[in-house]
Amino acid sequence: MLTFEMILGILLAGLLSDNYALLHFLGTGAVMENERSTKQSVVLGLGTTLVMLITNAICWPLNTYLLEKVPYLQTMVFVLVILIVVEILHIIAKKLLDNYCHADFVKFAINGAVLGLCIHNVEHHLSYVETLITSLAVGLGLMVTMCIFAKVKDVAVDEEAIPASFRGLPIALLTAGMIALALLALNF
Amino acid sequence: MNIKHLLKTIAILLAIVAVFGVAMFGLNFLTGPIIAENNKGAEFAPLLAVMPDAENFEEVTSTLADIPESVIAVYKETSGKGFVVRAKASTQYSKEPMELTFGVTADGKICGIQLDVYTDSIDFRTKDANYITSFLEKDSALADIGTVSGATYSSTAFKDAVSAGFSALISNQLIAEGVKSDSQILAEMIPTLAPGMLKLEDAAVSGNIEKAWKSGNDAGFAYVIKSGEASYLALVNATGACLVYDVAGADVTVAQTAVADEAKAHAAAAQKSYVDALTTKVTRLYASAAEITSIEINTFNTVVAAVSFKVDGAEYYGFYSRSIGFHQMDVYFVIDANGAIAKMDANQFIFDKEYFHGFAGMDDAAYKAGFEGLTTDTWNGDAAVIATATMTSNAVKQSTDDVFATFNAIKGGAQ
Amino acid sequence: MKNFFKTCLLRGTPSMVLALGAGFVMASSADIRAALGMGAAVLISMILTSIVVSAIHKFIPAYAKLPVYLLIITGFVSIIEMLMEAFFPIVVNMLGAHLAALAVSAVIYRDAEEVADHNGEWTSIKTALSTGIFLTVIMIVCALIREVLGNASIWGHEIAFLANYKVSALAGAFGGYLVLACVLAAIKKLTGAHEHLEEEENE
Repeated sequence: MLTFEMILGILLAGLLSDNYALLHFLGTGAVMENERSTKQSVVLGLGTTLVMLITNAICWPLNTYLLEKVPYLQTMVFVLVILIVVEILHIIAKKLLDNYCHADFVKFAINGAVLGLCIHNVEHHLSYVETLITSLAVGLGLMVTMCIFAKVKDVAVDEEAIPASFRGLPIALLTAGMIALALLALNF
Repeated sequence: MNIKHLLKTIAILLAIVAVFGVAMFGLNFLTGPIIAENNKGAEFAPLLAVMPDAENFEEVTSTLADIPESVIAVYKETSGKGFVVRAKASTQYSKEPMELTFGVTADGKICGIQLDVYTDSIDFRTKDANYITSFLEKDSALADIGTVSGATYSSTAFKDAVSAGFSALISNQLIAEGVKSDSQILAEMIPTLAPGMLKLEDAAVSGNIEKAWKSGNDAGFAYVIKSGEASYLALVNATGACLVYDVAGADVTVAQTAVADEAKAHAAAAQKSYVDALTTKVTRLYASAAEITSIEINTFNTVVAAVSFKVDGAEYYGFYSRSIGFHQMDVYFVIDANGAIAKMDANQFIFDKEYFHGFAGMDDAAYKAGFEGLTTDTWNGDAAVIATATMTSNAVKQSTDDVFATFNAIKGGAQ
Repeated sequence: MKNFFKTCLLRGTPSMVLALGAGFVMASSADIRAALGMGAAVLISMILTSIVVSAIHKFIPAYAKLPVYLLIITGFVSIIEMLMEAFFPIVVNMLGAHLAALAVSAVIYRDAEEVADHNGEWTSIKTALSTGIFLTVIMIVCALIREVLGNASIWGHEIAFLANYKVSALAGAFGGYLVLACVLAAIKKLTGAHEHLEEEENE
């Protein structure tokens, strides 16, 4: 049975030492191009966490009971589930979302981290409860990473002081690399 | 987007899934078998490394009886080329058990061998780069495979793991047992007949001596000596006593005096004497010790010197035992005429305090005093225990056992 | 011809593509085989998607475009994944979930949505080709640096004289960021493309 320590361990891993966007390069694009305000980032991040929870809650039984015979359909089915879940959520939460970030929730929520997480969970044969906790942890991790990254890039990086060739994406990559390095230290 | 749009979208999506699903279903007829083959290949990759010409493997571990604990799995090559065994072994130096894989051909010879996991603090591969490859082409007798000097425990464990794998195959009649040479049979008798000769190292040979071993703790020498058609095992202890055994394990010392003399002569030239060191120790323990006489002992354990002496007319016996714990140990015992320990001492118990995490320190004086008064009957090993220092404790225990055995041998001989 | 490649490889490709594709570029640039495999997967799935999308975009209602295009990409990626698993299993092992995650990569989707959705097959294919080749070249350059210096090997074969001097951090996650950033900066410097790129970013 899951102990409290294990749950805490999964949550901390998702948030820090096993961070998807920074250390596993899943959903990195979504984080890198994020220039939204902290408030928007939090809403988008929470929305993505919700998407992760729901899709994993659906994908796990699908994979366990239906896809055993046709493993090659796995990616297609997972993406189909993600697409439908995101569209339905979008309809339900249209009002709330539009106030903050217009329509880009749909584009944002469909990123490598969501699909990568579904695949990761079934490949590591996690139990249903573990799957849900991992989804929560990874989703929150993505949200925190987005906020931190947008803030660090905005506040700590002075574009004027950087050599011209390093402006823009290169310095953003280096910034993300530095945060990744800090998180990597937690793995030792 | 509203509900109606959503439903339409889902309908289109399902259509796309259907189209691609059909395409992939068709493609699966082409790729499915190849992927299955690939997955199998990945599972058997370490097995193929030791048996490159194998076609396919099948795990047969569960069908075998009496598998030694160190054997992890046994695989059968399906076209009958042989077997692959995965085994593990550990020593006191292993952080984790070492794991090895080796292939055995149908005629019982090793065709490939490799170490998969190795975490021992001393790496026998750097001490002897050819040790592992020396197993190639060998049968279950593992003839001429010794140990790696400087990594005796690890290399012995490795060899034992291979032997265990062979015995699993042999006891299940999968391969025939290899025939051991006389010299090998004799060499394998050494640990039983002379348990005190630890860390055997190869020594120079001469004359009829085919093989010679020097014990690392200076407890004596072992020889395989040829006499006529037959080979004999000659053991010489630290005080020069010699025993000769034939291949059947029978004591033939009386009949083979020539063999015994050759062994004694060879040993006398190289054996370090510990009588002087013991004499010095005795005079330090008993200032008034007199008539200190060296005794030739006829046991083959870790006792390297023995003396008798008198203190105020009372008779005492002093013993010097060299057992091996974490390091070489030098342990001294004085036993009175009634067989009770009068004094116990050692050069040093804990050589490297940092090694023992959580070693709380020990009261040497109290520890030594704990032995006083013990006799063969009351000694049960408890007095030797040092908390968190198992290897040192075991060495002291062995020394105590050996000293009592030697004392009893001397007393028995005197009566 | 020279101009065509220059446009395709450097100027014609907005740095946005790399920002969105940074994830899989870094994930697959630790090993040259992985980089080539990923490059091929990106290129092929992009071209196929472009063809299909530019052929059917007229029949797809506006509200359904995103999910439909994404699912088409997923289909092609899945097929490529199946083929790779059969014929280049080592690449699939190295890439893991990243190959499948390509299905929802914003790079390919963006290509489909912004180019193939409005243009004919030829323009779409040309754009897909240039973006795909650009990404592949970047990945291979990064992979060369990271595999040789970080892992002291090339194409999986060990380089003996480098074995004692390898910088294993380059093969790890941080090396991915560092090398990609330096490679991009070098390209900008060499081609003087940064002004052009920044212009596009500001759009």
